[in-house]
Amino acid sequence: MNAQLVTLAIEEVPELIALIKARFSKANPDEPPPSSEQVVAAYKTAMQSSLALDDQWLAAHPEDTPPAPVVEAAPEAAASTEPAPSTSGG
Amino acid sequence: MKRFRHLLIAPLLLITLVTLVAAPACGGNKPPNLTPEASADFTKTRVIQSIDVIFNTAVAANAQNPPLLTTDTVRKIVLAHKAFLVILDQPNWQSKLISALTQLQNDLSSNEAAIVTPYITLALTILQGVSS
Repeated sequence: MNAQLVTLAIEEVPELIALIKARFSKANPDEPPPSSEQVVAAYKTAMQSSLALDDQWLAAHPEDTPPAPVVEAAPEAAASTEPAPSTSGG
Repeated sequence: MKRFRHLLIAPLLLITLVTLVAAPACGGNKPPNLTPEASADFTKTRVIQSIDVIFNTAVAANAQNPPLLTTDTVRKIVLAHKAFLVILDQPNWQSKLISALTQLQNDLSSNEAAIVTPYITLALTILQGVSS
């Protein structure tokens, strides 16, 4: 469990480092800052790719799919014999 | 549970370090001369990056053997992640997103929260940084 958690944290390190780099990245004086159009386009791209990731995962894991075979499910008699509604007219 | 918490020290230390480093710098290098819309989109792009970490962590935790998070839990997180993205295009998105992230945190069981909470906290910290 410990190793798994550490592995999981380590797997996320590149992404976290990328976040830090994005925070600290200084604008290169030789490069012009991104234009408003570029920033808006980058946002739309990030939004679409994130939504696509969600959709891909959800499509690959449909909710109807049973998560695991139920081993300890005891066969219960589900026959519920409800009495038929009597139409006692009187 | 105490033992389990102890096992989380390494990831938590990492996240705490990243949070401490990242938080003060969250909106520090926004390009000048952006239109208001582009300025907002610049901030939102940062937020997308932070909530994507939650998604990626959940999927990676589910891929571990044995899985650290069940598929049902990951589905809950993926659906929440999708809702976060929808919120970004709504008015007053900052406060709505903070509420949604907090709601996700509360919806998870203690064991699940122990794995995902550091990343939710990171996203909340970044969000609060860019919102201020």
